[in-house]
Amino acid sequence: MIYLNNAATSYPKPKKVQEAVMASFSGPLVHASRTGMERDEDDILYVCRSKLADLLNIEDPLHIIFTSGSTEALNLALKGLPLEGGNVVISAIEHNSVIRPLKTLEKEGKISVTIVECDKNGYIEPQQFAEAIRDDTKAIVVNHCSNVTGAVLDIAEIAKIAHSAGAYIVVDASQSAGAVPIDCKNWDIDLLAFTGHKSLYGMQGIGGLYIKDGIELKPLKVGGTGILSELLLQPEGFPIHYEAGTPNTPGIISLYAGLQFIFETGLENIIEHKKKLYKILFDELADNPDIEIYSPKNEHTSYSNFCFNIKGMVPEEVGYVLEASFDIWVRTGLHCAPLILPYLGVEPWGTVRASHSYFTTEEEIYKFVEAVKKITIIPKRK
Amino acid sequence: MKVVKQKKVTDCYESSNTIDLILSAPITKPFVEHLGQLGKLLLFDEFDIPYFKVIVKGEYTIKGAFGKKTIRILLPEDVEDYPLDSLVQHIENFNK
Repeated sequence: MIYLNNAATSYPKPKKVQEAVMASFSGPLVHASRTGMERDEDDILYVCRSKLADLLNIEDPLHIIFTSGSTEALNLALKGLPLEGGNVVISAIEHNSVIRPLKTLEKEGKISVTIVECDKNGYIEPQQFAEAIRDDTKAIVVNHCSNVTGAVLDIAEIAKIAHSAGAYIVVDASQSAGAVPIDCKNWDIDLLAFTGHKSLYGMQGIGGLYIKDGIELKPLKVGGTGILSELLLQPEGFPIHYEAGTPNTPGIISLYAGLQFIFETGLENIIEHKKKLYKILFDELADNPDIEIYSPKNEHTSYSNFCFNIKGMVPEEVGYVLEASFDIWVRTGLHCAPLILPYLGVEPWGTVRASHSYFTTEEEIYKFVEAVKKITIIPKRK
Repeated sequence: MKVVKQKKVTDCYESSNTIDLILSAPITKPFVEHLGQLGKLLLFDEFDIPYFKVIVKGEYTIKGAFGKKTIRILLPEDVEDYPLDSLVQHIENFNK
């Protein structure tokens, strides 16, 4: 099998991750300092937060809240911020994990939503956000990297625009964390949501939210914290104010191992490898008259997603044939990002998305290229 | 050949009215030719694993690949509970 669906979930996981998860089941998973309030180097929650803080350039690791993934992190951010009565600016490249919570708030009459258009590759100039801001805008919520085309936005500039208007900047880093550099401190990000099972190489079911110092959210859930049990209300302070219930320790162990893999390999080496594979895809397929490519070629890209269609074919059939006849797994359709479709010109069927990882080989990419070229004969045979 | 199970496909964007038929045996070239009697057969045997489509004009399209035990039926979008009895019968007449 050639797996090219890493934008959905990465596979394979590094051996280190597999071993760490297996080892975690060899003893009890109960931990004395489960909250991370004790800075114990043996506390997996704290060391994982610290590693995340290193990767994302976050000053205080305790300001990273563990969640079940980006969706929960974004729900915590968007339902927890004081947005009521205001406007929220989002973009056309958002995933449903942003669109649906905000559209639900809009339907309840609590906020209004403004959508910033993207270009035919999913890119948006920062200035477009400035033009969309209104007097009542309370937040810009933006996808750092499109899960469809792989387009990467300039978060530092968009954050400046948000703050100059007195609005929060909330970043969805589901696709970018572990794939491209992120600098929460210098980009002045208020809230950043990430998931562990994509480019951070952890298990499904673990992710998190970074909350900048000084920002208070209404917790999404309250309950047991393992300490301060005499309090009848949720304890204050980071991270326990936002982390009720038993933590996903196996998930955190897997995430920590994934982060170790990234640091040992070097993010720059991971990016370089993906860039090399991305170049092969464009060199081999960009001039093919039967193929339309929607991913950005050279800049503003994560080099991870190759988004395309074969002319005259519905993307679902391309994916079906790739899997059935060539044992190549990709993703087809709308990719949970319905707003981007008209800008790519791919309504109503969506696109085919092939997303490689550090573990994808050049040989696999060439096999994929040959398969795609062969499939282009399907619409020609009548 | 028997149809072991019929399964509604919910994540297919080629048609929102799609059924997978799970077969009792792997798909062979003679079986594909048997299906081809229903309409127009398009066979792509230059692929690593040959792929086929049978277009039954105005009715449905069948697609699948050699060696698999599933065929996919793309039905008209606007017909709920499309009757597949005659197709199932045709499949089960193969190698009877």
